Order: sequence, then C-alpha cells, then structure tokens
Amino acid sequence: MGVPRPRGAPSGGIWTPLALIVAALISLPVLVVTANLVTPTGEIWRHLAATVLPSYVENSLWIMVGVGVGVLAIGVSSAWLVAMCDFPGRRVFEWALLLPFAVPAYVIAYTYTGLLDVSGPVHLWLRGVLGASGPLSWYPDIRSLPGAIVLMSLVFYPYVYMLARTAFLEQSHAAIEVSRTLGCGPWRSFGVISLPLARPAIAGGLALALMEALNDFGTVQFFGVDTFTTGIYRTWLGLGQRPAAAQLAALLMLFIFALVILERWSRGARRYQNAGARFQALPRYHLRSGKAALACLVCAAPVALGFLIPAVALGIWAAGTAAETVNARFLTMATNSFLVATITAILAVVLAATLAYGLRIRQTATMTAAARVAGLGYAIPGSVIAVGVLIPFAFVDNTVDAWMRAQFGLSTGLFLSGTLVALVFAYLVRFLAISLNTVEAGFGRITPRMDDAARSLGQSRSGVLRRVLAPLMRGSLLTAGLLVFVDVMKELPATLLVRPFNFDTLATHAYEYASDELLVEASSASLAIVVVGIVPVILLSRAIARSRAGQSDGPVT
Amino acid sequence: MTALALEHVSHAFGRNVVVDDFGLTVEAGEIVCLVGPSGCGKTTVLRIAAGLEPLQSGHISIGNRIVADANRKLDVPPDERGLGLVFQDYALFPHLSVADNIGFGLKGMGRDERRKIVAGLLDQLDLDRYERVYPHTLSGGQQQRVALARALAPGPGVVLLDEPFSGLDTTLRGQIRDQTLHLLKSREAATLLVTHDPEEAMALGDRIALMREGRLVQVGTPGDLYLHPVNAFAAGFFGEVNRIAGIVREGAVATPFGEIAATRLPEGKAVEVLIRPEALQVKRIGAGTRPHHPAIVAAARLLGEVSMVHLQVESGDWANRHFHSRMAGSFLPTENSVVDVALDTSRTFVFPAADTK
Repeated sequence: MGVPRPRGAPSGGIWTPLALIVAALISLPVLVVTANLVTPTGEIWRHLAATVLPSYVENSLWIMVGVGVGVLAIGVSSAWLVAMCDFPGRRVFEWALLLPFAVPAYVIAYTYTGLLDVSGPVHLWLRGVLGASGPLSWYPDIRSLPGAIVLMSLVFYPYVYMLARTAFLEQSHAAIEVSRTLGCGPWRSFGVISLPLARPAIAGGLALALMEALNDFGTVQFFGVDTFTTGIYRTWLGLGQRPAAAQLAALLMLFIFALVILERWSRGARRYQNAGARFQALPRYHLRSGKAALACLVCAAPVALGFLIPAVALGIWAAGTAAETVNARFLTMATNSFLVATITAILAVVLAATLAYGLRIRQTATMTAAARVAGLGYAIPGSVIAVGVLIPFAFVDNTVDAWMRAQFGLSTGLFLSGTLVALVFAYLVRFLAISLNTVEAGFGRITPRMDDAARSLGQSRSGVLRRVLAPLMRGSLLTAGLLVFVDVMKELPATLLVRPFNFDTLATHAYEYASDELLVEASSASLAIVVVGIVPVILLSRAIARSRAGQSDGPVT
Repeated sequence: MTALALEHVSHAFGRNVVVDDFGLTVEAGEIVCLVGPSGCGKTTVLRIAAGLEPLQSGHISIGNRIVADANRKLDVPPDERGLGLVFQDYALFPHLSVADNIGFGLKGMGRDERRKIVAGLLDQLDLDRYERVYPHTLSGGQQQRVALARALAPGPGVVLLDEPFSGLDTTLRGQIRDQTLHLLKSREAATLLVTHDPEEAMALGDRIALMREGRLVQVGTPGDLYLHPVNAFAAGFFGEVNRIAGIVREGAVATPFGEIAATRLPEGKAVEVLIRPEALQVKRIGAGTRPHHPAIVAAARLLGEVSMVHLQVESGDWANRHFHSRMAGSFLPTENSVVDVALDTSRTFVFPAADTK
C-alpha cells in the first residue's frame, strides 16, 4: 500500500474552496430544516408522540427489515449469476434486471392494486373458478404493510444488483482462482472471496435502497400504511404544523443516520483498490440444464414481477384510455419531466465530481464533514427538502424584492422560489448523495499513484481530472448520471410542492389521478414514466457493459 | 553540477517522524540509490522531492532553482518541478495506448515532434511493436519500460524511481535493470532510485545513500559502503557477515583467526567484530604442517562462481561457533577435514558493541 495518503497533501488549489462552496450550498436546506428542530413545539408534538408516533416507528422498522432482506436476496443472487455464471439468456438479464429501476414504487403500487384488489381481474377470476358468490375471505389485501414491502423490494433491488454486479466483475480473478486451487468450490469461493470483496458495494446498494424505501411517500400513502413520510406530509400540509413535522423528519433522520453509519462502517478503514496493473476477462461457471433453468428463473422473476407484469398491465389499460388521456398537455408534461431530469443529472454529476475530487486531493476533517452533510439530502423526505429549499429562497426573493422596491420602485417578485431553479435545486439537494456515492466509489478504485504520475508529467489538478480520472471513471460517471436521472423522473413529493405554477410532470399527473382512484386513467402517465425511464436504463447499461474491463481493447473503467 | 539537493528535510505523519534531518545531493548524470530497510522513510523522501508530499521543514532545489523551502512557505507543485517519476506499480494510464502514455507529458510541441520523441523511446526500449496496444495487455517488464519511457519523454533533468524493479521476476530483473542503467546514463539526467535491495543499489548506483529510521546513515560509492562501513548496520546491510563479540585488549581484539587491530577503541571496551565471508581464506593443510588457525569443515558447497565453506572452530572461547567462508571458484575441501584459516583484515570491521542493534 506504500505510504498512507496524508491529511495535509499539497495545496488543493481551487478545488478545496470549490468543493466547500458546493457542500455549503447543497447542505443549506438540510441546515434550515434542522434549525427548525430547536423551535419549541409543545402541545402538538406531545400529542403526536402519544398517538401516532409508535405506529410510525413500527411500520418504518418493518419496512426497513422487510425491504432490506428482499433487495439483498434479489439483488445479490441475480448480480452474482449474471456476473460469474453463463446460462441461456444471461446477456439479456444483464440489462433486463435494471428495468424495474424505471418503475417508481407508487406506479407499481397503483398497478398491482388495480390488478389484485377485490374488484381487480385476479380476484374476480378466482371467484369465478371457485364459484364463490361474495368476496373470498382469505384473499390477501395488497394494500397492506406486507404488500408495500414486497412491491418496494421489487423496484428497489436494482440498487443492490447494479453495484454488486460491478463489484463482482471488477474483482481480481486471481483471488477467486487461488481460492479454487485451495479447494473452495464455487459456493465457498462466493462466500469466502466474492462476497467479502463485494461487501462495500453491496452495503452501498443496500443503504441506497433502504433510504429510498424510508423516503417512499406514494406507496405508503396509497396503501394507508402510516410511516414517517406520510406523517410528515400530513402534519406539514394537513395540520400546518411545520416545526412538529420537522421534528418527525429529525426522527426519521436517526434511522437514516444509522444506515449511513452502517454503510461507512462496512466499508471499514480499508480502501479497496484494483490491482492497477492487469485485468483479465473472467471465465464463468457454465451452468447446465437444471441449474441453468434455476438461474433463469432467479433472474426472470424480478424482471417479470418488477417490470413486465406491471408494464403489460399499464400498456393494456393505457391502450384503452389513451385516446382521451394522451394529448398536447400530456406531451408537455413528458418534456417537462425529461428536461428537469436531464439538467439535474448533469449538474449532479458535475457537482459530485467536484466534491469527490476536492476530497481526494485534500482529506481534511472539514472537507469530509462538508461532503457528508451535502450527501445528507438523500436521507430527508422530498417534502421536507422542498420546505428547506422554499424557506431560504422565499427569504432571498422577498429581501431582493423589498430592496428593489425601495431603491427603484420595481417589484422583482418570486424570481427563485416559483421557478425551475428551485425545483432543480431541490432535486440536487435530494439526489446529490446518489451521484456522490457512485463517483466516490469510482475514485476509490483508481490508485492515487495515477494522480501522482499525471502530476509529475506536468498536469495541473484540473488536467489530472480531465485527462486521467474522468476517462477512467466514465462508467462511474454514467452510472451516477443514470441513477439521478431515473430518480428525478420518479420523484413525487418534492415536485408536488416546489414545481412552478402550472408546471406538471408525469409523476404529479399520475399521483393526482391515482388519488382519485382513477387507476386505469392514471396508466398513460405511469406508463410514460416507465417508458422514459427505460431509455436511459438501456443506453447506460450498454455503455457500462462496453466500458467494462477486459471485455475489449477499449478503456478500462 | 548539482541537479537535485535536499537539505535538512524532516517529515512526520502525525507524531510519527519518518524523515529526520535528511540531506542528499545528486549530480547531473549521476545515479544515486537511496537504500534502506522497509519503513525507513526512503519513499517519503522521494515523494517530498517530487512535491507529492508537502515539505514540512528543510529545503529542496532542482538545478539552480529552489523548489521548496519550508521557512519561506515555498512549495512548487509537482507539475511545475519538471521531474520524471517511475512508480513501483507503474501507474500507467489504462485508458491510453502505450504511445499515448509515453507522450502524455509532452506539451507545447507539434504532433510530429511529439511522435518522434515517442518513436525514439519505443525503439530504444524495444517497444515499437506495442505502440497502439493498451497497457493491461503488456507483461510486467514491458509495463515497467513504458513507465520509464513515459517519465523520460519530457527530458527531465531529474528522474526519481520508486522500487522500479520490485514487480519483476528475478530472471527478467537483471536484464531490465541493465537496460534501465544504460538508458538513464545515456540521458545524462540525475537519478534518484529508491530500493530496499542492497544488491540492486550496488549494481546501479554511482553512489549509495543508506537510510535507517528516517536518518541518513552513510553516503558514498558502493565500494565505500562495502569496504568502509561506518557502523555494524551498514556493514551487515550490504553483505553477509560473521559476527562475534570481543573485548579490546592492548589495542586489539582476539578472534579465532587471529587478532585484529582496534587502536582507536579504549582498553576493555566490549566490541562486535564483523567478518565478511570472503575475508576468511581457507587453505588445505599439507602433510606434517601445523595450522595457525585450525577449523573443521562442516560443509562445502559450490554456489557457481564462488564456493561456500561452513567452518566450525573446535577449541577455545569460540568452540562450536559456526562461520561462513566464501572462496573464489570451485574450492570444496572434504567435510570434517581440518583446514587452516587466514583472516583478511581489510574486510573485517570492529565496532563498539553498543552500536550493534
């Protein structure tokens, strides 16, 4: 490992202050919301604590445990099969397993409710088959806590799958071969070598999936499962008790802090780096008939349940209603969604790279803390972030407006809070952590010796980033962009609150229809979200495959 | 002309002092090997010289230019120092072809000129066939040569190499080391090469700087360090030694093979005597002759150019002590036979016992 990287590496140039500015801006809403914690709340808070709080805690814990087990089981098993084995359909599953990424939790909830509730086709068919005259007493209600857990696992597992697959692929083949020569079979090699080596990536994916699960609003709201997010939403908007809602958010943050600490701890003090010198194409385990069929099943089930079935159902419903729902307004909404998602994704990657590079150059306590605080947005429900953005923006708007009126008799109005700037900023605050995690992991895989070599060959800090690190990290940067893009497409509560007047996205549209129990009519917007979400999933999963080490003469990720 | 000078350089990671008042100069065209056991701070010295580690105290100049001075808070960044650097793990850019790796540091020149320099180096290092190839397809030896070519391409006045041969297997190492030596010599650059291998340091260095626990122990030609070590550590580092304890009596120390002068040490001082294996000259005993310093041959082995004779002394204070003698050519006395041993005092060193840890 050579000499440890010191805390006080040579001067960071512009990168240190730049990273600090980014961190400060992004953490502003978090700090604003946190500041609300110290405002005395009294009566309302005591009332909440005595009545609904225990059920919020209980439901949130069940969701964490259930979704955690679910995404690990699906994500790790499918990632290992696809990365290390060869069986019919592997190449298709490689990218198909990412497809549920395009389905937001609330969309899958709306769709399965339409399919499985008592007036849905499945129940009616069962009744017909069994000849029952009334509702079947044993028929499970999908709109329940277990239902929410299963559906969330089906759409959040790609976080684990994607990071675990990359980790399995980038593992030193030598280590696995050594373990084989030492008498480990494929199963033991997996348990003793592959899994421990991939642990940081898997833990990272799990943390992301669980944060997403805890932040879910659409599903639990629709299923009537009371969690922190629905509580915050109701307290904030319904009761208008903003400080009490902020305190609920703070409690929710404790859960997330536990996750963040778990993730950091599992990475340990050790920084896994690739051997640097050579890559080798991985020979795979060739699976035969029975095992191959089982592998196909393991990979096909999440794709079918998390994507194909809801997509087909949405397609059939949309086909029946498209004539009335797809119109010029609909196309505008689609464009709006794509636009904000693209802008946010690009900015998020740029900002994450700035922060992560600042950290790589100069790992002071301040820098580390700044990056962590900037990454906290992901922990905070979209609705709370919305408020954290709106409060300071409104303050700036009003101050500037007042000053302009006093000086020039002009009113500038709401030039920040009522605009796309506020919305994109809210998205950035919320999703920067995703791109930051990915970009940091990408940096972590490149030995600092690369920077040193480029520096000694006359490159400035910026030159190192541009000419060496960015090309090496193309896969990571694209992944970061993909994750943010898809999340913005799906984002609901922050969009509902921060969007400019008359600015509709596909997500808000689907939400409004579903709230009115117009599940079939909501299908066009839902399907469009899914379809728009698929395009980058395919494009980027291909790019990731292309830029993979040892697959071609091309560059190495 | 002095190309690289480090003066009074000290460095600590937290409370852990890894370099302590270190000073060293490298002349243009000279190869200096910085050698020492692992963890002695030699790599840190190299990183400080390159500007990759901030200078905490002391000052550094390259050519006539002061590049770092802790008192003046001056610390020129690595990209402006004009040094060539070769890393232990080579750190080749995996996304660039061999030619692009080598040409990476060439700036402010036309395409053709650049191509010419790259082609020249490829040719000189027998890499022409690999111009368009990516580094991960190359062997370790080829990667090492690409890393060297990349560092030399911009024509730096100073080249720093950190354990450049440690990743290579032994058969290849000698050859690549030789090629590197000639290439470095032909470039007239000042070279500072860090290694933990004393043999490598002696094979490559015009001068050797020996380091231990952050401090400079001795600087000199390989001959100086081998034949005139300043302490027991230096003597032991550059070759095998037979060690025996002794006491100074009337300006000399007794050994099983005769007395050694120790005129500078006080009477009664406890000392350690270090005898290089080649200092023990073994002779077969002719019939009827009485050996001056008899020893029994425990084993004798031919090691190629030299023979290793394992000796045991029968009587006196050193009974059953084991000694190694190295004799030129094939010299294999019968095991258990008695031989006569003469001592070459020019390869025998006496140091105060306190100095031998």
